[in-house]
Amino acid sequence: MTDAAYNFAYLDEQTKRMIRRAILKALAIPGYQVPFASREMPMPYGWGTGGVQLSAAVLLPEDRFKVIDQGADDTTNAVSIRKFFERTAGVATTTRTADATVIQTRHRIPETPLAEGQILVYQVPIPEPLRFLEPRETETRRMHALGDYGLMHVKLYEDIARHGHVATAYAYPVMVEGRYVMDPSPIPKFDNPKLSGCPAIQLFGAGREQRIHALPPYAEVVSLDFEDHPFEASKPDHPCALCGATESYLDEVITDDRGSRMFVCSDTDYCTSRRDAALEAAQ
Amino acid sequence: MAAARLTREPLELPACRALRLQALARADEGFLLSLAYSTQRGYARNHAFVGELRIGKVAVEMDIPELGFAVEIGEVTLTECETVNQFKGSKTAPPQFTRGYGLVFGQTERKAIAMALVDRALRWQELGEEFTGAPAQDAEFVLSHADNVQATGFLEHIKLPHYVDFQSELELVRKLRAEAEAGA
Repeated sequence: MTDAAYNFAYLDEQTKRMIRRAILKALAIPGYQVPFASREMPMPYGWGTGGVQLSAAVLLPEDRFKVIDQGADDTTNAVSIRKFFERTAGVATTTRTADATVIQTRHRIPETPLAEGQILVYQVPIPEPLRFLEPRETETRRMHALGDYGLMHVKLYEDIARHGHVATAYAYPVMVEGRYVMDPSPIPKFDNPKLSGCPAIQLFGAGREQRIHALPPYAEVVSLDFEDHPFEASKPDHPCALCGATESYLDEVITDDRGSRMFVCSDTDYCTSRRDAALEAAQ
Repeated sequence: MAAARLTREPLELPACRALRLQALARADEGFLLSLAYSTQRGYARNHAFVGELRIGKVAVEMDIPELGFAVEIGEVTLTECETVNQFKGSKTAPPQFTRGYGLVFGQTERKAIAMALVDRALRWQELGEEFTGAPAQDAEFVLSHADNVQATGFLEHIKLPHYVDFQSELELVRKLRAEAEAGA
């Protein structure tokens, strides 16, 4: 039930309008970082204030809301944010990817393919893909305006020269619609191919950095690479120890103090659904 | 131009002085103190005399857009400092003192003075001084890292689980090490 002391989804209507305008601009210019007047939220910066503001701006009373952190619905950040909107918006919640209309995520894209009508909201710590090559915002904005991405290509080249591979395993930079280089938030690069041609709306919110960027449905997203060093989405080379999935991203769990370990799906809904289905089939 | 408002609009860089002062007023005291101290030790030195240092109470009005008017909700204590700094002059303008300004919440003279020194250092461009590379002159560096609520949140988010990104990096390091060993 909604806490009557709050406006629907916590934020006041003027703020939601301001954020929706930024979202529309971001959808119109895929991959471009739109500055927005991020508000202070009742949670620390760095804990999803950008994602929460996006969810607050897009949620409708009839929505069904899902929140994941590291792929799991039962992690502390996910539980807190889900409770926050249960209390301030009174929306229904779910852990089922297919049943959710809005999904807020920290650092994973669900394994179950998304559909038209769904919105995936990413929590973003540093939205600027060039930030660790050039710390100045005044410079990086100019580089984006001019499409001057030489620095990024040199970085990838130097990685290959030094290590034989691009030394980035998460937050792997992508080119959106052939125009803007974008940071997909710290998702493992295994998830990168799911960004492209996705039927759902993908929104990225960085509260502390006051930026929103977005991918409209079916946007073309290409992970940066070279012809002779093509991008490769990698994951641990094991099946899930719980559900047997071979195509899902895995976490490595240490099970004792003698180095034993097991690999399990990071997407808890995907893993649970598969085990439930197997159990049903067995009966 | 309407007055810049740091809390209602995204910070755009380079920032005008009004915006810089708003950011400095909200800045972490320790951060300002260290930056101000660094100017005293010669990193963009601008020796200051205290021209004004005072403490007082002001009314707080809250503008409520849904109602369309402002409501006075109380009063707060502020500390204000105005410094008189070393002079500038040119062929056309005779020497004159320059100033720095600090206005902070609460009774905190140390932060008000520190803010005035940092404000003065950030005015290098407008006063025709050189950029010496000193941190206190670098507006983008100072403004981006002064807010301790932002800094605290981002620092403490490291406590949240990161096993997905770590797993991806672990796989990559294992692969690079395996290749290095195979090649050795």
